[in-house]
Amino acid sequence: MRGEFMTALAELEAEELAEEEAPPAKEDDR
Amino acid sequence: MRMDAEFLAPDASGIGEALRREGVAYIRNLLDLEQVAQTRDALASYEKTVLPKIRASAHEAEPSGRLVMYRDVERYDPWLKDMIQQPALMDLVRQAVDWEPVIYYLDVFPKPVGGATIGAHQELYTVPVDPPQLLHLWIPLEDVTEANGSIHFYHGSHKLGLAPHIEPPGSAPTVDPAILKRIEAMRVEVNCPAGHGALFDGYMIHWSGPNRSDRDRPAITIGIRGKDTQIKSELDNITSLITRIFREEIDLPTCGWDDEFYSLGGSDSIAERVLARVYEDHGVVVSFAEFVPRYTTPRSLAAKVLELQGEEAQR
Repeated sequence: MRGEFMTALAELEAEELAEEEAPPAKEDDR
Repeated sequence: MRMDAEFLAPDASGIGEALRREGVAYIRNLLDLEQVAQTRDALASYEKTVLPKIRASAHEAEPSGRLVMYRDVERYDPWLKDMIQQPALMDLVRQAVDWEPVIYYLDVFPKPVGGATIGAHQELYTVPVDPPQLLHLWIPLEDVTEANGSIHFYHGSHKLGLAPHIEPPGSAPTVDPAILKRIEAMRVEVNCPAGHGALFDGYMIHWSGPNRSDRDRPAITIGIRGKDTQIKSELDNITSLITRIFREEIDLPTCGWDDEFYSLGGSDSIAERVLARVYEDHGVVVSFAEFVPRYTTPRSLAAKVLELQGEEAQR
C-alpha cells in the first residue's frame, strides 16, 4: 500500500512540474 | 492556506461533486443551535456518568488526563444514537455517494481547554473497510477558529490512496511528516461555525490544531460506511491492539498476530506488564498462570479477552 501512495504522489508531482515548465499558451494561434 | 469555506446547504446537489473532486464537502446547518446545546449537554452527562463505567479502550486521553476522544458512543447513549440517525443527515450522504450508507459509529473529540493537536491521519488507516467506502461527518459544537484548533484538510489527498503512517509508542498513528511536507500545497485550514460541518472521504489526510482558547471545543464525528462493506471483527480489533502491546513492551519493530511471546524475546516481567495493560485497556484479568500455557500469542490472548468480556457482560 505504501508503494501505491508514493507512486501516486510522484505522478502528481511530475504532472504539476510539467504544467509549470510548459510554455504559456499563446492567446491567438491563428 | 487559510480558507473561509464555502458551506453548501444540506440538500445542495454539489456535495457529491465536492466530495469526489476535493475529498471534502463543507455543509451548513447540520445541527441547529438548540441541537448543538442539547448535544453538548448529553455529552457532558455521558462523560460523567457513562465513560467511567465502560471499558478503558472506549476512550483515549493525554498523559495529563485530558480526554482526546471517546468512541462508539451510540452503543451506550440512546439519545445520541437517535440524534445521529435523523433522516436528514443520512439523506445528504445518500445523495453524495453511489453506495448505500449506514452509520458505523459515533466518536467524540472533546478538545478541552489546553487540548493538544490531533496529528495528521487517514480514517481508513485505522478503520479499514473493504471496499473502502468510508466517510466521516464532522460537526463541531463550538465555533472552530485558529485559536481553538481549526481543522486542516489536504484537498485532493484522497485520490492518492493510503499514506505511510508512523506509530509512535503510546500515540495514535500519524502520517509520515516527510509526506506532509510534500503535500503542503494541498493543505487548507478551515474555520467552521458550530453546527456546520464537513463530510470527508476516508482517505482524506487531515489534522486539527491545539485548543489555546479558554473554552472547550467539542466536536462529534459520525463514521459512515457502505452497507455491504466488510469490516474487521471484534476479535481482529482486539488482536491488533494486543499486538501493539506485545510490540511496545518487548520493544520490537514488528509483531505478527500468531507470534509467540517468549519466542519474540518476552520475559515473565514483561508478561506482567502486558497483562496489566490488557486489564487497563479491556477491563478483564488474565492471570499470569493462565497466560503462560495457553494465551501467549496476540490472537489467542485476544480470544481470551473476548471470552472474559462476554462473561462480565452476563453478570
